Amino acid sequence: MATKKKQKTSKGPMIGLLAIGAIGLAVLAAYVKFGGADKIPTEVKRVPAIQQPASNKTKPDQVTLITPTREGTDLNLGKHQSDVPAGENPMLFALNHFLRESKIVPDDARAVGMQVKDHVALVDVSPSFNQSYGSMDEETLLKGICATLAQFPEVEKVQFFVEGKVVGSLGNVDLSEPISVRPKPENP
Amino acid sequence: MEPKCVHYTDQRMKRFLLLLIPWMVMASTASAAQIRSAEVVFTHFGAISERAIRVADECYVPLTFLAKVGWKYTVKNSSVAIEAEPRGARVPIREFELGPAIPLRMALEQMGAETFWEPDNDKLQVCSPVTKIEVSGNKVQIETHLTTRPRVFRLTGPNRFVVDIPGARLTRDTVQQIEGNGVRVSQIELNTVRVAFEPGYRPSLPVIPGLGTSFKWELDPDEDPGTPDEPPAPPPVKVEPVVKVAPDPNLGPKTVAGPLTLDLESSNRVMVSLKLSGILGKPAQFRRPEPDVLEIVLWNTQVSVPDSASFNSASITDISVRDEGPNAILALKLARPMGVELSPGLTNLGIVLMKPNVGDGKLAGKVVVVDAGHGGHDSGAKSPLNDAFEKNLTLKIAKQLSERLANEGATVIMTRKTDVFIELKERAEIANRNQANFFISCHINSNKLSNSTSGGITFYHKDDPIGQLLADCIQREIGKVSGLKSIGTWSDGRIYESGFSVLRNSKMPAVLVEFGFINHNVDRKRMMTDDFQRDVASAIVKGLKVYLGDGN
Ligand SMILES: [Zn+2]
Repeated sequence: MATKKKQKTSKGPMIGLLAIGAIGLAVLAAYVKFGGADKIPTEVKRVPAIQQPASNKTKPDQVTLITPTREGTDLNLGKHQSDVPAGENPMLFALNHFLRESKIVPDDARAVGMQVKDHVALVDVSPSFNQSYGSMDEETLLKGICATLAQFPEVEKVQFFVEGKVVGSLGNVDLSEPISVRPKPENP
Repeated sequence: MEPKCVHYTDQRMKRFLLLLIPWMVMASTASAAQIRSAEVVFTHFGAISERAIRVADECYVPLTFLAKVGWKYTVKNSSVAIEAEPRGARVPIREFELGPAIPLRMALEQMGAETFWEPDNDKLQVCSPVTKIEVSGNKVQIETHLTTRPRVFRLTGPNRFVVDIPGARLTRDTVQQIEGNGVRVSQIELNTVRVAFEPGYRPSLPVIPGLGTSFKWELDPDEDPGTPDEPPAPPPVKVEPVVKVAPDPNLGPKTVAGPLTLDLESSNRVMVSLKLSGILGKPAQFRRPEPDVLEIVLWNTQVSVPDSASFNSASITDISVRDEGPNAILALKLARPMGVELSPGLTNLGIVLMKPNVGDGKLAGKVVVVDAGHGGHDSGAKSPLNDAFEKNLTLKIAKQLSERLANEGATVIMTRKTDVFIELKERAEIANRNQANFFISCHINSNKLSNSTSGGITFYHKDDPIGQLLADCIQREIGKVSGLKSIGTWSDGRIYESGFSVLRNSKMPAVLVEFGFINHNVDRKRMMTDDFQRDVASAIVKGLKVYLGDGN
C-alpha cells in the first residue's frame, strides 16, 4: 500500500545548488570583509545571480527593490527590479534603497556594511539608525527589511549592529537575537 | 438567582430566532462531597481498567494504576514520588475503601499533562499537550509532551494523508511552524489532534510510528490516488455530505450548522461545539461587540434548526442566531467577559471560552505594573518638528494611570517614574518579579508613510485569548473618551512574528496601548492635553474593572 522508496532523485541538483551557493557566499563574505577592491572579478559580481532561485525572474546583476506605501493601516511593499551599480554589494544596495524610501529613518541612516555568517545577515548600520519608533513605523521597517533580504536565499535571519553593539529594538520587537527574514504571517 | 435573559436578535431576521435558556442549573453543594466511581481515559492507552473514584474535581486511583501507565514510584511516609517522562510528581496518599490512592489530576498537573472531566459523566480525559508541529520543506516533525502513539492514514474527499494523535491536545503553547498552504492542523475531537497534509504528498514510512514524544517523517510525492487506508483503530471522523440549502449561485451551497452542544464546563473553561455539514468556505471568526457578548461569524451558513442548542450552562446565559447577508451570526451572551478560541474541525466548530482568573473580582488589592514606554536616550516616536517625544507623553499618562489605580486600592508598580532608559526585557521582569496581576504598557504610535492615520490601538500578545479580552475591554473604554478614532485591538504578531518583547515576556495578562499617532496633527495636539491624559487613564481603569467584573 505504501510507496516504499524515498524520492531522493530530486535532491542531487539541490545539493549542487547549495554548494554553489555556499562557495558564492564565502566569496561574497570575503569580499565584504576585506573591503571590496575597486576591480571586482566578474565571477564575484555574478554570484548573487547564481544564488537566485529558479522561479525568480531577476536577471544577472539585478535585485528586487522594495518601496513601502500605506493605505490607512495596511502596509504595501511595492517591488521592482533594478540593476546593481558596478562594485556595489547587492544586499546593501537593496537595503539602503528601502531605508531611503521608508521615510522613517533619518536621512543619514544607512546600512554601511554587512556579512552573512551561518545564514545570518549581520548588518552594520550608522548610529542614527539606532532609535525607536511607533509600532506602525516599526512594522514598516521590519517587514521591509525582511522582504528585501528574503530575496537572497542564503539569508535566513538578520541582526543589526551599531559600532559593534547589537541594536536591541526599533520600538517594541526584540532584536537582541537575530530575527527570521521569512516570518510566518499572522492570521487575520 | 435569576439569569438575565437578553435577546440579541435582528428584528428583520426573525425566522432565525433561537432559543433562550430560561433557567440555570442550581449547583448542587451536596454532590461535591460525594464519592463516585470514575473512569480514566489515558492518552494513547485509552480507557484504563483500574478502579478510580471521583471526589469533587479530583480523581483518585490506586497505586496499581501507576504501573499500568508505565510509571515507577516510591512511597515515602504519606506521599508518593512518581518517576515519569518528561517529569515526575510528588503527591499525598489518601485512604479509601479501594485502598491507598493518589490524586491523579494533581500528579498530572505537575507532569504538565492536560486533564478534564467529560461534561456529562465521570470520565476523566488525560491528554498530552502537543508541544510542536513543524512542516518545513519536505520535513515533518511532531513533538508531544507525554508519550503518544500517532496514526498515519489516508483520507478521502479530498484524497490526502493525515496524522492523528489520539490523547493529545493543541494548547496555547503549541509551536506551529508550518510552511505551505495545504497543511491543516486542528483539534478534531476533544482528545485528538489532526495534521492533514497537502493532497499529493504522503509521509514516509513508518506508517505506524510507535510510541514516543518526537516523530519525524519526510513528505514524499503520493502518486497513488488509491483506496483509503483504514486507520488501525478507531475510524477517522466521517465527513458527512454537504446538505444543499437555498444555494446562492455566487457562493455555492450553504453550510448547515447545528446543533450546538456543551462538551465541557469547568472552573476555568467552557467548550461548546457547533456541528457543521461541511468545512466552512472561510474560517469562522469572532468579534466582541460588548465585553460579555460573543458573536461568531459563520460564512455562507444557515443554522439548521431553530432550537439547536439544548444545554444549560452557567456561563452562557443566552444564545441567538441572525443572518448577516449570506452569513449566520451566532451570538452568545456570557455570564461575564471571557477569552475565546475557535477550533475548526472537519464537521464541527469548537468554541472554547476561557474564564479569566480574576481572584475576588475586585481591582482593589490587585498588583498592576504600569509601564511608561521608552525613556532616557530612547525618545521613542517623535513629532515631525521634533517638538514632542513619545517618552514624555507616555510618562505623563502612566503617572495619571498609576494615581487612579492607587485610588482604587490597587498596588501600582511603575517601571520608571523619571526620564530613564529601561531595557525591554527588564520591564516585563519587573512585573514577573512582583507577581503582578496586570501589565499595562503605554506608547504613542507613528506612521511616517501617511500623516493621515489617526487613532488608538491596544495590542495583546499573539493569539492569547485572555490578553485579547483584556485589550478589548480597555480599548473599548479608551475609544469612548479619547476623542480619537478607535482602530481596535491588534495582535502584536501583526507587527512582527515574535510580537512585542514586553508582552511576550510578561507572565500575566498584558496589553500595550498606542494612544494615537504623534505625526498626526490632531492626534498629537489632543494627546498633549491634560484632559486626554486624564481621560484615557480613567478609561484604562474602567476597562480593568469591566474585565474583572468589578462594580457591575
Ligand atoms: Zn513606543
